[in-house]
Order: sequence, then C-alpha cells, then structure tokens
Amino acid sequence: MTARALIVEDEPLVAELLEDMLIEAGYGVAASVGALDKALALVETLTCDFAILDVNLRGCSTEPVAAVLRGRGVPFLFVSGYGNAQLSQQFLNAPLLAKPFRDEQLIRAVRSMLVEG
Amino acid sequence: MLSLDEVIITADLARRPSRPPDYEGENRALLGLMDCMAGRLAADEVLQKLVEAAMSLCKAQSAGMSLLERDPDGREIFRWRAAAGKWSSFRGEWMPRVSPCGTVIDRDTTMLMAYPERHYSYNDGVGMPISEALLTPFHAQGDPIGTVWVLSHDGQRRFDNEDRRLLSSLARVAAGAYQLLMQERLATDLALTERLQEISTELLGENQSGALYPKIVDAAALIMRSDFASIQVFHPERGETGALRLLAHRGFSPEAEHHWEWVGADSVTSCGGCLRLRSRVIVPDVERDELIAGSGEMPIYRRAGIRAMQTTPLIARDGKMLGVLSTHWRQPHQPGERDLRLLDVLARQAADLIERSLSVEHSRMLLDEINHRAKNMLAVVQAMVRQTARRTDPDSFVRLITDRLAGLAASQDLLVRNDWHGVELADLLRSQLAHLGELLDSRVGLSGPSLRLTPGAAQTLGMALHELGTNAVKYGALSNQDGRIEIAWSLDEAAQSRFVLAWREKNGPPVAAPTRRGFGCSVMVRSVEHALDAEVDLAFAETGLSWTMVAPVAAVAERSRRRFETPWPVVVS
Repeated sequence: MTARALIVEDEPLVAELLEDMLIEAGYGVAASVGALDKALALVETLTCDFAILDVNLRGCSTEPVAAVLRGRGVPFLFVSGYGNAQLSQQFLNAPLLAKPFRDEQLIRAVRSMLVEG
Repeated sequence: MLSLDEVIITADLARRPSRPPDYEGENRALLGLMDCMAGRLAADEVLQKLVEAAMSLCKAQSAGMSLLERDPDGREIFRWRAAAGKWSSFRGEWMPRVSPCGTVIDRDTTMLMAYPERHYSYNDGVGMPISEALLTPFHAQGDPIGTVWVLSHDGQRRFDNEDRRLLSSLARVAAGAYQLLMQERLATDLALTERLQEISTELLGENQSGALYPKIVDAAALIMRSDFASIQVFHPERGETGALRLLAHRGFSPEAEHHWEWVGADSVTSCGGCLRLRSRVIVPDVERDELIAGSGEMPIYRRAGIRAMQTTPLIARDGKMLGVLSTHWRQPHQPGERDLRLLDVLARQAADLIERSLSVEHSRMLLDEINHRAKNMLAVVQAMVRQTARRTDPDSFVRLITDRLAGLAASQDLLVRNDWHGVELADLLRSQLAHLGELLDSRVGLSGPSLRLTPGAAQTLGMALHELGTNAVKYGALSNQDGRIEIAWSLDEAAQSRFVLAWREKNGPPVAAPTRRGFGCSVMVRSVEHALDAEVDLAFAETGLSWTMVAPVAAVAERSRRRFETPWPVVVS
C-alpha cells in the first residue's frame, strides 16, 4: 500500500515541489497545508504514514505539530533553511533536511524514517 | 514683607553686653580642627567638625557652612557643605543666591539678622523660624566664596560680639579647609580623568562589551563617591513602555539585585522615574521622598542600605533611550554639580558602548537571518525551475525562467528597500507590472486603500501578479489595442476581516480557457490559496479573464512593526 504524507510547508512552490517529488517516488499525499492552525487541526485525526514539516511557518514553530505526531507514533522529517538552530532540545535529534534539497536526499530521508519508524 | 535693612540688626552687637572671651574653648576647638586636617580627614568631614565647633562655641541651635556653586542651569546657589544642630538634616542641600548668605557675600562682612524669613522667600521648605542668624564670609584668593553661620530658633539665645569674634576665627579655618577641599578635588579629578581615559581606550579595543559594564559601574561610583552603582539597559520591546534590565552593579545585596533585575516605567524608583522623564532623577533622601517613602520599594531600600540616589539617562546620539546609570549612597546625599558633569562624560561613553554593542549584535542577527532567507529563497527558485521545466518546451524555458526570476527579484527588492517590514500592495503591483511600461498608466487601473503586505504575502502575491501580467500581455486584454485591466482591492474589517483583490480584464480578444494548467496557473491559484489561506476564483469568461482572491486580512496584512529583540548578558560584579 502507498505510504501517504502530511506536508506542512508555508512556501507554496516548495510545498508543490515536495508533493511532486513524493508522488514521483511512489508515495501519496494525504494533505498539504501552509498554516500552523490548519496543521494543528488536521494532525490529531488525519490518517497518514509520515509527515514533512517546515520548521518555521512565517515565524511560527511547527514543533507543536511534531509533538502530536510523536505522541501518535507517526514518523516525521523537518525541513528548514535555518539548520537545527531553531529547534528546541526535545527535537534536536529529529531527522532534518536542509533547504534547498534534491529528490534523492528527500526520498532517502523519507525511506530511512519509514524503516526506523 | 520687610525690607532688607529691617531684618539686619548687626548694629545691635555693639550695644549688647559681650561675654568674656573663652580663649581656652576656642583653642581646644581650633586644635581639634587642625588635627583633623593633618589627620587626612576628608575636607567635607573637616567642614562638618568646624560647624559643630561653631555651634558649641556660640551656643547656637543650628550651624552651617555654605559654599557658592552653580546649579545645572548655571545659576549661582549656596550649597550647604556642612550643617549641625536643628538643621543638620539639610546638609548637602542648597539655597538660592538671594538669601542671607548672598547678602553677606555681597557686602563681604559679618552680619546679624533677626527673622530673616520676613525678607527672603527661600524659607518655605525649612519651616523653622530663625530668631537670630549670625553669618560671616570666608575667602579664597581674596574673594568671598562662602559663609559660616550660627542660628538661634527660640527667641532666647541672642548672639554678641564674642560670637562674632569666634565665628570670624572659625571662618579663617574654613578658608583653609576649603583649600584642602580644592586640592582633594584636583586629586580626584586627576584619578577620574585617568580612569575615563582608561575606559575610552578599552572601549576602542574591546569586543566583549560585557566585561566593560562592571568597569563603568566602578567609575561611576568613583566619580560620585557613592557606596553603590548600577547600569541598566533599556528594552523597548518589554511591556507598553519598555523596561530596564540590570546589567552590572556594585554593592547590591542579592535581594536588591533580584528585585531590580527588571524595572518598568511605573516603578517607584529613581531609575523608573528616569525612564518616565527621560532625564536625570536625584533623590537626596529616600526617607523624605514623598513617592518612595510610602511605597513598596521602601523596605527594599532600607534592607539594601540605600538612603540617597541619582539616575542619569544614557541617550544615543540620535536621541533614543539606551539605558541608565545610577549611583546610591548609604547616607542622605545631594550630588554636587561638578560630580554630575563628570558623570555625564562617563554616561556619554557608556551610551556609545551600548549603542555599539547593540549594532554589532544587530548585524550578527541580520547576517544569520539573511543566510536563512537565502536558503529558503534557493528552495523557492529550485521549485520554480523544476515546475517550469516540467511544463515548458526547452525553447521557451530560458525566457520564462528568466522572467519569473526577475519577478521574484522585484519583490525582493521592494522588501529589502522596506527593511523586510512589508510592502504596500500598490507598490508591489507597480513593481510587478513595471515591464508593461506606458500600458500600466494608460490601460491598467489600480484602486484600493493603503495596505501593507507581510513579506510572505508580498512574495506569493508578487509571483501571482507577475503571471497575470505576463498572461495579459500574451493572450489577454493587453494583447490588443483597446483592452483594459481593472485591479481593485478592499478591506472589510468590520465583518470577518476579509481582504478582496480582483483582477478584471475587458475589451481584450475573445478568451478561451487554456487547455492545460501550467506553472502560471499553479502560482495564480494554488500558491495563493495555500500560502494566504485564501479562496481564489479564476474564470476565463469570453469577455475577459477574471481573477479574484478572498483572504483573511490577518493572513496578508503586516501588523505593527516590531523591533529586534536583543538578548543581553547579565554581568554582576
């Protein structure tokens, strides 16, 4: 069965890029949102197999979304142009992909998180 | 109000019987004073001993020594360098030039006055009648520069010629003590100049500004001869009116340090007052300060051992408040004008230091931020290149991608020019449609209220408007001779805070919906919906393309401007 992603990314073109890269690699997209409140509303109930989170949504941290995902046992991957400088202690060890990234980097990161998760 | 001559009764001295001279008592007192001076007692202490001797020798109820000085406005005043007896608590305070002391200096002779408050108006704050005042001038380089005086308040004690003789003798000692005071000042001045020079040199070479704050605090205590000192930095972003944060101090108890770590403008303290007034605040005696004495701060001051204080603002060269420099004393204290002027020199240096470290910090944060934004922008460019490549034939790819990058660059330019604090929608429209040239003025109508977009909204809308413009030139209303575009926006703050932006084309060639939805369409519709929580309607009516977006105002409009929050190190000496 196709593993489906929740994408939380405020930059629409990058969100679209993530969707395309995942779909081309054979994954599905359960939802793609750009605002923190929408992400928080979705994340409790959405059926998804993994998530890709932009660390910084126009100044708001997506860590609350990550915390819910962690509680639900859903693996997630941070993407950021900020390195891990903006992550708090509890997420410093979470997988993180630096922007800009290539297809292979993204897909490799998704695969390894699905295997480990 | 009596005339001056009516309160002067010096002539009475000649008529009053004079008691026999007490040479023994006088000699004892003078020897004591000489010992004090030889024993390197501070000049102010010698002067205090002197007035105490005057009080006991003349059996007066109050005694004092006044020195002619200038106040911050350059007016002459008399500073009470020493005071004893009933008026001892006024030590350190001052009297106007027009006062008994002023008259004695003007006439340069010993004078006796009865109830001088019947002529002078200075007496309001003192509230204790002077039945008799005997005053005598003392000199430096031949000029009268101050007075020694004894008072009686009860109407019983009347001074005689013996008191005049004793006071004149003491005035000569006062002149000597004054010389000592001046020498002391010269020595302190020299030490201070050296200290200030040292600090300036360190300021020039020092990058770790934190290490210098304790030195500034020490220098302030040295200049003001205070028991405590502190430096606080202003954080304008804290609360409504900003707050002061303690950076370094000298002598505070742990309780005081903790209690005054943050001080707001509403705080009943000299630094809170300084923050409110943006000027120096002096509290000569906290116990007698109407505001402080009854406040919750009073127990803290008592436990900290602080009785008097002053706070001087640190002002940037452009007038902004940067912080404050305070000094505190264990005893009631009125800082002298000269000390305050020296402190101002130090305050100037401290302000420069704070300003410089603020700007270094600010530059470092900006560099970090620019690096992050560049990375994010590269991700956007990467996505743009990729999406364009997938949906375009190789021939037009380079032209299209160049166009789109130019559009992105135009939005960036606007943002940078506005310091990343958002962009006016009308400016964004003009910049994204600038390539239309004259058509922009003649065939495109812009109408709507002033609206400042967030940087994110400016970028997303910029790309959408760029695509709409390109499309209009290629296929739409600007591809023939008569077409027009009306761009209108509105803010519906009252209802649900909706922002509506509409792009309407008319009189263009007949419109047909495109057969495939390319990158342009994705940017005009999906991106805007995704990033701005918007609903976008794109309709290809035969009469012309129409594009309408509706979004919450909060998702597009910049709120009021925020300052960078700068983290400050706390240094405690």
